[in-house]
Amino acid sequence: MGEEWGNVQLEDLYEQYSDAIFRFVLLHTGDSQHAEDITQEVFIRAYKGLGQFEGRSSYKTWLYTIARNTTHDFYRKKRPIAFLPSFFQNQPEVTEMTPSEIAELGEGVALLYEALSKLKPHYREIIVLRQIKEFSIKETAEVLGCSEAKVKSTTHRAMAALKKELNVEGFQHESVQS
Amino acid sequence: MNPFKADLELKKKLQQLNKVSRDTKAKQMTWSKIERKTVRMNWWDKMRRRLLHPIVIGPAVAFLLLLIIPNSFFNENSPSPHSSDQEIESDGMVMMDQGPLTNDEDDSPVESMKGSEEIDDKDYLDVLAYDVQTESDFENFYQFIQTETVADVGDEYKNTILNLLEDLDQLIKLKYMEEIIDLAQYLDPAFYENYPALLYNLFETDPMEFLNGLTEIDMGSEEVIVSSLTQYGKEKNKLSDMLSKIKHHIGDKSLLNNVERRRWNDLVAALGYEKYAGTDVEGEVLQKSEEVISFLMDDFSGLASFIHQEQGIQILNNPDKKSGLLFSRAEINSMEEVSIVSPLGKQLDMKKDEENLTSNELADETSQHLLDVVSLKYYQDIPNHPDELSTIHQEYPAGLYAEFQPKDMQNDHNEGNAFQLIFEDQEGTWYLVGIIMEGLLDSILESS
Repeated sequence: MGEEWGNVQLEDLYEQYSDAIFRFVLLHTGDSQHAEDITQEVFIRAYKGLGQFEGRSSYKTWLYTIARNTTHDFYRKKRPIAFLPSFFQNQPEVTEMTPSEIAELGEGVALLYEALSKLKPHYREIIVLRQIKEFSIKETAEVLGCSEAKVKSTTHRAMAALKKELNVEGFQHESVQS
Repeated sequence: MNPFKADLELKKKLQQLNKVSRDTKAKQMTWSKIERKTVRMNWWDKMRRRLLHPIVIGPAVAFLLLLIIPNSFFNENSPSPHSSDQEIESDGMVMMDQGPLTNDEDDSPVESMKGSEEIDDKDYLDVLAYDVQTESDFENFYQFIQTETVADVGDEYKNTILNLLEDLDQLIKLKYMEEIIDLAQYLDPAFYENYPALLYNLFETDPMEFLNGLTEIDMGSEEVIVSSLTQYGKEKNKLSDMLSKIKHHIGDKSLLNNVERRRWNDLVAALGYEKYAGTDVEGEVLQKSEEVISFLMDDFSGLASFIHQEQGIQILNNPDKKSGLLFSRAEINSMEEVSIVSPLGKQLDMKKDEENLTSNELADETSQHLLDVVSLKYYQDIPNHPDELSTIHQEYPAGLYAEFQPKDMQNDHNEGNAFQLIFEDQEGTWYLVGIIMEGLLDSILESS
């Protein structure tokens, strides 16, 4: 009974959140196949943890927390290069979308994506959560496992870094000020 | 023009990134895979529960105990029948003699395993330590430390990682200053006390980035950081270096942020204080300050001998030079004939009927009730001007000032009632170049 309940819950969660989780992961990886794989892993981990979920946070922040950790784990396992000598390091950049995916975004947004992908990872994730996913400060703090004050200060810094990057990309003049 | 318009536009554009479509077929396939895996997990779960059922596990454990206990009991209590270096096990296998038992070998299998895991961890961390050479490496390292709860590891590992942070490339330190401080604090919440060398190293890399990077530090810890840094600088005879590095950035517009500005001022004040604490300079300036104060209350013209011969003296309402007037030494000397009651005297007027006091009694009264706090500082935020960049140090870069604060105002933190005497060095002697005291200038102008 419990398992069936678990499966039903998982399917509900998948229906409700999988698209959002997929896009969240995609914004970090830039690769839709990896994003699908990670999304799959997220829901398997959620299934394993469903029995221990105490409802102290919402399902949404809980799943995003799993998604964040799974994304980190995925790339750490996939890219031991960072921890190994330099001859292993000729690997492709993680955040590269396919041409069709970039085209789909439109020129202005594609530039924005490029700028976003050049930010420090924790700046990128805070922008994704606060500005793109529109999480509250409290929700963002839950997902990132930090204080609300830290979320505020990091968001401010991250947005400043993004604007700086956009100026480099020439985005500011063409898109924002027009 | 609405200053938030650009931000709003940017946010709108950012949200378009959330509209990337997802292939429905891929979505369905992902769910199928999840279903298959969870079904398998269910099966294993059922099996595990069945195997762990007391009816199954009970006899199995009992059987294992029967195998293990008599064997170990026999091994411990009977001498080996074999005198050679080899020992024949009960199953007939021959193994090498392990040598005399040591404390290490007395450890339980769990402990031994834990030990080997620790060695593995250490090796892994050592590998990390030598391979964080690029920005990308650092980003992975940063995520790794935070997701692997490395904070739970022992002091040896903390040292390894904190040493790594100290040895990072300058460019990485510059770009990731905030993250480095964050990591160090994560590993040891009191790293700024326990690892002053790392603290100093980060400060030295770029004082501005360092102070800006202290985002998560509360005010209490900030005091500890300032104290730790200045003590370290003092021990290593680097206070002058630190001051000159920090002076290089004074006036930077990015310091307008209140929090960062407070950190900046606190650090420079502490550095300045430490630099002169206990020196002859401090003694000279403090002694002269006390004498100047007695002249301010009694004989204004007596100030002349303390005044800088070339620069004269500025009487200011606040540290902004525009708020005051410049007087030469001769001009102050000529005030002998003019009766000036300085605000210092006026304050006493209001407090006591000092006309009935002798000058000695007046001086005692003053030191007892009015001028309780005397400190020598190099630089401090402007009283009542928290948003301005004009500071005593900016106006008087070579100056030292002694600050006096009325005793009864101490608890109110009413800095506006404090006043400062600013001195500058002229060929080894410190002369008065400025007095910042609200109302003093008006008194002089009214009287003359």
